[in-house]
Order: sequence, then structure tokens, then C-alpha cells
Amino acid sequence: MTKIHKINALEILDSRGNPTVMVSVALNNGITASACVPSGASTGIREAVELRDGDAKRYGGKGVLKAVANVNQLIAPKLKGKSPHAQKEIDALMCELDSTENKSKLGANAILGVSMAVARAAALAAGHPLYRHLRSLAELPSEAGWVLPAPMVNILNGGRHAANNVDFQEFMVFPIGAPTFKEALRYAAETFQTLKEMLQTPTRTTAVGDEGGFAPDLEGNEEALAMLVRAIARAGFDPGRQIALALDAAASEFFEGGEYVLSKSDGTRILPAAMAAFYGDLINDYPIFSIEDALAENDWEAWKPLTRRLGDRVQLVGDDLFTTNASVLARGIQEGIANAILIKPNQIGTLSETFEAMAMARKAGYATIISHRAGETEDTFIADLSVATNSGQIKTGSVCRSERTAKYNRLLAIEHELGDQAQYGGALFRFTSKDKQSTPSN
Amino acid sequence: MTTLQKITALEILDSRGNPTVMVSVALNNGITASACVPSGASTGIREAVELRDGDAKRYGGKGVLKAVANVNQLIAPKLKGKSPHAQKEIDALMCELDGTENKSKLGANAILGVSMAVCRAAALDLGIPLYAYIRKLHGGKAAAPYILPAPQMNVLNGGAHATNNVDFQEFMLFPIGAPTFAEALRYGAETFHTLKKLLQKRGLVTSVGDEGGFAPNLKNNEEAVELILEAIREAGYEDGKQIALAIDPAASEFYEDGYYVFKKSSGMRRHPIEMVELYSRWIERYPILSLEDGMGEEDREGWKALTNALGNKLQLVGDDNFVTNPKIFAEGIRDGIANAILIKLNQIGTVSETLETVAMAEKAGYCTVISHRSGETEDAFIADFAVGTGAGQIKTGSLCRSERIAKYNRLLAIEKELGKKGRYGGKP
Repeated sequence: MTKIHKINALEILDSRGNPTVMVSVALNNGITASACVPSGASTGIREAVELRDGDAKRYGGKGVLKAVANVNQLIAPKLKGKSPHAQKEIDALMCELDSTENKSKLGANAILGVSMAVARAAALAAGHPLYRHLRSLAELPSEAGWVLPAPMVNILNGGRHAANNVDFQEFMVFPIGAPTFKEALRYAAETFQTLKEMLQTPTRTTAVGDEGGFAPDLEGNEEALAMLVRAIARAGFDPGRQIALALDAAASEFFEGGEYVLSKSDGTRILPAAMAAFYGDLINDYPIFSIEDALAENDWEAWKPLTRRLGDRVQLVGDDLFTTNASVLARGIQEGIANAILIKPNQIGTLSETFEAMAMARKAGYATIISHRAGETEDTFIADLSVATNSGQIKTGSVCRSERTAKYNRLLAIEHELGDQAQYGGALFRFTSKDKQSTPSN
Repeated sequence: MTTLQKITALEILDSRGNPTVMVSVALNNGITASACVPSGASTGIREAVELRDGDAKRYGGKGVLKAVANVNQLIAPKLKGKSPHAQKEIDALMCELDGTENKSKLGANAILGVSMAVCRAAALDLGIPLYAYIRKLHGGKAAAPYILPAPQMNVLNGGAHATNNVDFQEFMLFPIGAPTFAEALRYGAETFHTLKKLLQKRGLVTSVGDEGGFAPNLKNNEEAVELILEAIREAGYEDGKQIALAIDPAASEFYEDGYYVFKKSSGMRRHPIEMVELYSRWIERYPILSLEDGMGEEDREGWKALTNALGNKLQLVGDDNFVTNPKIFAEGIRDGIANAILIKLNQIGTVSETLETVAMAEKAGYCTVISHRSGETEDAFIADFAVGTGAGQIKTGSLCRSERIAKYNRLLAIEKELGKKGRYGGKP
């Protein structure tokens, strides 16, 4: 029987130069596999805990030697001799060993690294590509087929992560009208390069932020939206039909004292009850097909009317709101909040729990978007995860910086490998009402 | 016998969002391996040619479908059935098939992708790490300790790649005083984060360029150096002893009609001899241990003067002037130009030719610095290449962006795997 022979962790660096955990698993048949754990910038209050050393003498307290030691000394001995194919059992065992609600004892960074590396080793042992192995764990119907995700490509930034006058955090191009993933990526890359040309002046920088987006000095939110529409058109694509827009408002960041305060742009204060009308106007004026974290994570009451009023016109994604947590999502489904969920494995900490949240979302008719984090690595696990689960959508940053492009490259390779079996997710996207497909004049 | 069964190429994206080539190799025993090709921004005039489609309807003409087709249709049939262990033969065969001096027919991007992927497949077939296999190809002593390279980390930028008043292109941290590679990386990362805080405090931008460095609006070249030194000290390190500096002025970029013109800062014109004097003053004032492309690639007299004056005081690295080419480099050695060479696989286009250039450098007593390109990928081949050749130094960008960090992470893993069989390169 194939067994786990050795598990080893190492402190490496993520794409922002902060320490993170790499886990390597060796099986008794000589197969080895490894996985690297991502790290979030705006970690929601309900997320699983990333264990950091707090030793100010190393990496400003951000070292992960404790998490590494937890893998090597606490987790490894418990898993030695187990079958790598027993993913559920292994994940449950680690949760039990941790015993806290939010994985704060062993660290979600330690646990997730092992969870992913075990899955990869099991795939190699079975002689399957990772996405096929993950499909067997995800419990999808056998006739499901293979869907390559439509990418939400974050190329323009505002909010807390940018020094400009834009309140919303991410402005994404969403090439849903492409025939294949490969073409979708080209649509996005050409739009990105066109935007770069539009922004470049002798005095204006086109350097990029953590996720590879630009953060130029803009007057406000609408200027950012208009600029993206212009870039799409100038690159030769049809805004709204070939390439739509997706927005991540990250509204928790500007929710103050019961009001949404657009302090970076014009200082407008909007009451929660008026936010549906506010977004309604934006989706009338721009081809926005998806809005993430439109309201704050602790503003549940306002999420209900927002979903009632806009939920059939636009995808409303919960990220900070749900934190990939099945029990939080269950409450959201029951109360009719949002209609899509952002899936980040490290928000919950094991693959099995990630699959659980996704299965629940599928059952409730919620769309799923597999997502990267701001602090990423060269690991492309989420590319395989998105194909395995037919998430239909992926969010993995801009079209530069290899922690982002590595995921796109992996999807190119998967699409190539699947050939005729592959279907592009853009065609399945359901929030494309007729009135939004008209092309704005330029 | 193990043979090459299938070779396929795919168009993927590099770290700047431009197309590049990925090659996958399958052996007849089921082993598969792949490799991704990097791409340079400032391609020297004598470099091997990156084949691009020129079809303006795709990727602004930068598509690589021709190079992909060359791998699939021209190279793959010729190599099928060959042993993956015949690296030299395979590389020579591709050069022959190309038939040009600069690999412009098949494309250096097509050829190098195959060369690297075959190399990786051969290592897997032998069941040894890639760096150990590269050492074998290079004829290195099996029993000798492996050297983990000292990194030159590009954290602050000027020149053609930045909109500021700094003429020189790259200002790098060079953590030569660390006991191990892992510690060297920590020195670098902590200094990088400290530098970011210093910039934020002054209200300067902290978004990053192609290689992950900052390009804040600074007055001149001196201010850039002073700022880095401040960051090193503020991070708690001793400048010069624990962390030295390495500079890449990329002087070809501001060499005009026999003079070096500081357009971006003071506007001053300097004769080559005045440049030598400037560098002399700088190494008196600042802990600079390495100077790359200190003179323009066309300015051979300037290079000779620089080497004569400072060659015994610091490392003088040739990049644009040598372009990793054994023939061009041989002329440089003969003329006594520089004392170190930057090694970029895609400047010459095959693993074998690159190893030949490294061997030539070793024989002539030149130091070698293994280097990334500005358009990189998630492929960490050069990390293994640096350890396998015992180069002692690597240049692979800043402390952010995973096309850079992936190489550092691979070196961390190699250092851990080697344990006592590895030691840190440190000062050249």
C-alpha cells in the first residue's frame, strides 16, 4: 500500500518577500510532492489564523518557524504511515490535533501546506494530473465535464492598497466572451498592455502593486471604470460583450459608523439602505457583471435588500463576508445574502473543508470563484482546483508577476491537455442580461 | 535505452504579460519535464534572437507561435529517439538545424526551451537533482562541496526603466557577510522591507518595476546609494561587512558619441576617463563590491581603462559586451576587459554553449554571475544552474514577485537538501 513516509516543512518567501510555508511529502514508493501556502493582505475577522513567530529579530516578527516546527514535529509523526488517498481523514486528523475553531494552535499555514502537498502526492501516485485527482475528492457528478474558468483579471487598483483617489479596491477585466481560456487570456493581456500605454507618460509611473495592477492617480471611481472601458475598446475588444468588468469594492474598508464613506474620492456618505441604488446606477452606466464585497462583512442587514434588488442582474460575491467557511455560508444562503462566494483555501485551512463550502454553494445555486491571495507563491494549485471543481471562474490577479501568471500558464497547459474535452467557463456565466450587452459609445 | 519520445511546445506568458515558450519533454519511460524560456528587455545587439511572430493582431506582434511551431514541427522530429543524456549532441544538432550565427531561423526561444527541458528530463531519469546533473555536464568534481550563490538583489532602479532622475539602472544589495544562503536572503528581505518603509515615510511611491525594485523619484545617483545604505543600517546590518552594494549602471544606455551623458540627473557629459574617476571616487565613498556594464558595450578603450584602473579593487562584470558568447568573450579576455561575466542562458541559446562560456571564464580567472532576465517565468532553472556550475553568485531580482522569489526559494530548498555538503559563496 502507498503510504506517507516523510513530511517536511521549510520557511520560504512569498511574492511580497514575506516568509511562508512550503511542505514536502515523500511517499514510501519514492514519489515526492510539495506545496506552498499563500498569505492574505486583508485577512477577514472570521478567517483561519496564519501562525507567525512574532520574533521581531527575524523578518519583523513575520517568520514562520513555529508553523514549520508544527509540521515537522506535531503533524508529520501523526500522518506517517497513512495513505495519501485518505484526504478527508488526514484533514480531519489535523483539525482534531489543532482543536481550535480557527486553527490558531498549529496554524492554518501549517495545516493547509500539508493538506495540499498530500493531495499532490496522491495524484502523482495515481498517475493522474492534479485536477483529475481533485475532481475525485470534490464529489462532482461524473457527467460534469471539464470547465476552464473565466478569469477576473485585476489590472487597476484603488482603496487602501493604492495612493490615489479611488475608493474601490479592484477593477477587473472579465473576458467572458472569449471562445477559449487561451483566447480569454490574450484578450486580458492585450487590454493590460494597452492600459499601460495609456498610462505611461514621462512623469507617470506604470509600476505595479502586489497583485500586478496599476494604481495611477485618478479622480475617482467612475474615472477608473471609464478608463477600463476605453482600454478594452482601444485594444480592439467589445466592452460588455467580449470583455466585461468585475469590481471588488472591499466595502468593509470604507464602512465607518454605519455609513459607507467614499473618503478617497469626493467624500460622499451613503447609508446602507441607499447602496443598492448606488450600485444600480453604476451597473446601468458600465458593463459591470460582478461585484465583490459590495457591502461590509458586518453589515448583514443591508446585504439582504441589496441581493433582492440587484441579485438577478449582477453577480454579488461574498469574500470577507463568507471567508470560505461553510457554516457562515449556510447562514448567508438561508438569509438570501449574495449569490456567489469567493473560495480561498487558506481562509479555511484544509482542502476537505474547501470542498465542503463549494458543495454547499453549488447546491444552493451560488456561483463559485476560486481565488488567490495578495501574498502568493509560484505554486499553481488553485488552477487545478478551479478545473477540478468546475468553479467556472478564477481570480488570480493581473497579467504580470509570475505568482499570478503561473496560474494562467497552468490553465493554458490544462486546456491544451484536455483538448476537445475542455469547455470555457465564460459561456456559462449567467449574469449577462440583454441590457448590459450593449456597447457603450466611445 | 531511455530515449526522447515526445517534445511539445506551448505559448505561455512571462512575468510582464508577454508571450514566451514552454517546452515539455516526455521520455519513453514515462518521465516528463518542462521548461519555460525568459525574455530580455535590453537585448544586446549581439544576442541570440528571440523569434516573435510579428502578427500585430495577436499580442501586439509579440506572439511566439512560430517558435512553438518550430519546436513541434522541426526540432521534435529530429530529436525523437535520441538519448536525453546526450545534451551536447542535442544542442549541437539544434544549432546545425538552425544554421544561422544568432539562432534567428528557429529562434533562441525555441532552442533554449528544448535544451533546458531535455536537461531536466535527463536529471529526473538519473534520479538526481538538476543541480547535480548540471555539475556532471560541467565536469565538476563529484565530491567537492556545492556552493550556494551570493545573491545580487536589485531593489532600487533608475535608468531607462524608471521615471526618475537616476541615470544608473540597478542598485543592488549584496549580502556577502551572511553565514548561509537562507540568512543572506533574510538580510536582503528585511532590508527591502525597511527600504519600503523609508520610502513611505517620505511620501514616495512603493509600487514595483519589472524586476521587483522600487523606482522612487530621487534627485540623482548618489541619493539612491545613500538611501540603500540608510535602509541597510536601519534594518540592523553593517553596510560593507554584512551587506555590500552592487551597481549596474547599464552604461551603454547613456553612452553617446564617445561620452557618457547623465541626461536624467545633472545633464553632465563625461569622457570615459572621467567615468573611471567617478567610479574610483564612488568605491572610496561607498561599499561597492561589484560594477556591471560600467562602460558602454561599444567603448572597448573605456573598458580597458576601467579594468586597468580598478580591476584589482572590485568585480567588473561584463553583460552587454560579452552576451554569454564564447567567441565574443574570448576577445574580451584577450584584451583584458573586465574580470567577471554575467551569464544568461537565453543570450546564447543552449545549455551546452552556456556551460562552455562558464568553463572559459573559470580558465581565465573571471568570476561568473548567473542571471535572470527582466521577462522571467516561474521556472527556477537558473537556481540549479548556479549551484551546478559553482558560479558563486546569482542575480535574480528583488525580494518580491514570484518570478524572482521562485529562484530564491529553490536555492533555500537546495541548501536544506545539501546540508553540510553545501556552503555559502559570500564575497567574490
